[in-house]
Amino acid sequence: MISNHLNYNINGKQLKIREISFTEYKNLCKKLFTDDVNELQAVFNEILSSTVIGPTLNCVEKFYCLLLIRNLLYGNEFAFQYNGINTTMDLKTILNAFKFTVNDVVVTDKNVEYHFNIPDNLYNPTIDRVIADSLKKVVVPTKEIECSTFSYEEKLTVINNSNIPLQDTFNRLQNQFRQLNIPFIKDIEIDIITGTLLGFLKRVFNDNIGAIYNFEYVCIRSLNFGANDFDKYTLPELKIFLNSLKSEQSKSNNGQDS
Amino acid sequence: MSNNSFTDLLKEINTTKATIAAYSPSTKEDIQLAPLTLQQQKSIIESSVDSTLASLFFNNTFFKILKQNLGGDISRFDTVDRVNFALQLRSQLSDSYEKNDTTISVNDILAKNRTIAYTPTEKQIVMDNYTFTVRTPNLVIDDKVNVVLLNKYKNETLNGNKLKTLISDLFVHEILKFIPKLKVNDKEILLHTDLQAAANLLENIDSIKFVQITDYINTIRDTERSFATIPGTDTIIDIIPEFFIV
Repeated sequence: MISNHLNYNINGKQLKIREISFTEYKNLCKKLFTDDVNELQAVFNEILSSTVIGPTLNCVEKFYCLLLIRNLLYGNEFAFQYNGINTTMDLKTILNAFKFTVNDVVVTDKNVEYHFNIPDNLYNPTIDRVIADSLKKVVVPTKEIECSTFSYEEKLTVINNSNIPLQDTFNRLQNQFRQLNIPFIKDIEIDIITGTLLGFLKRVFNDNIGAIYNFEYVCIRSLNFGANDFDKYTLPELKIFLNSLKSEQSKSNNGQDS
Repeated sequence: MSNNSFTDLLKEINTTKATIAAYSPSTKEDIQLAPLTLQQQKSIIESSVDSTLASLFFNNTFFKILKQNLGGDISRFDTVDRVNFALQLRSQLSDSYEKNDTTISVNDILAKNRTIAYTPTEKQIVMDNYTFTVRTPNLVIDDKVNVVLLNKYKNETLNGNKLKTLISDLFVHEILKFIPKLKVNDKEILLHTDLQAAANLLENIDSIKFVQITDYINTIRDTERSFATIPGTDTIIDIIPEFFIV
């Protein structure tokens, strides 16, 4: 298990992020063999809970964090095909384009004010759940009640018992959260509600599983690694080891030749 | 899990909730109705299944909501009241409604509805040796009959013969809703006690005997439509799940 944590400040929150080991990386790529958004969400939540130490994050902060973890693994470059053309982009461009704040959406029903802001989940399957996940505060005539400590199900219960209009509230949230859309390429943007966060994460984390096994085999053969060793090193570290070995071998071959 | 603040908040939300006054055309009184919760709005939208049974699903869902939000004896109200209650609940979400690119005030319809004369009356229709007692179905009997049909067909694939049976069942059960009593010669039968038996009985009566009954049903359905008509026009608002998407 890797214990080295790197310090980051994301939207004013101090976080410690641990690099993921080769074993974790390989398991992640295996788990990404799904298009089920609920499964994808579980996979990325698992990575976050096992690698990030710090305060609770909303979905934009989670997404940013995951991209940092991804860049620690692969570097900043992301290669993909756009309209059939091989393209490479620097993911730092995306990281620099992040907006972390929007004003609250306030929906009033009689004497009760419901305050909404960025949801916590990377994806919510239904519009009532988007509304519930975005609930931050309720102001009743006598007091203000912060909802940040409420569980997801508790927020849902509050929302289900309210009389606010379902579709109109969702539309207002969707309009507000549009300000947080992250430009990706040309006319494509990543938005925070429709599941594109998860789709994008899947694309940037996914790697060819066959190539991963080949790489693991080369490490076992060349570095005399056992299964447990892969828990201790990251993918970039293993690549460095192999490169060092190659360069050592080539020096030694050159020595023999001369 | 969070603390007491969650329970406190739920309590606060429920105590600050104001009921709304809704006019019941059949009893000519204003009754208190709890506004639609977000969960109820969702259940209405979910009842919008694309099937032959859509209106039964919707009416069944709406009945459950009225039962929760009205309190008291819901059998006091009939299917004409249901139209007005639906409009009242919709107006609480938003007064404006778009129909054919025109924005309509739901409250204007509700105001107009107070001026419509509607008195539910029981009527005897005599056909040969059959005497049918007919009246507008109350909400409870309307729902019970809908449930019989939903239970029979909800898991069925409706094609061919099954669809024909459904259409025939819909016709018989629609009639059944309106006939609480039937007298054959001197024997009186209460049809709303055993719905299945009553439906079987009606199926065995020559359909020519239902002509006046279907005329009566059409009059009541026209009355329901008049409560959903936009003032000064012939345009009728469809009280369907989409009406509640606000």
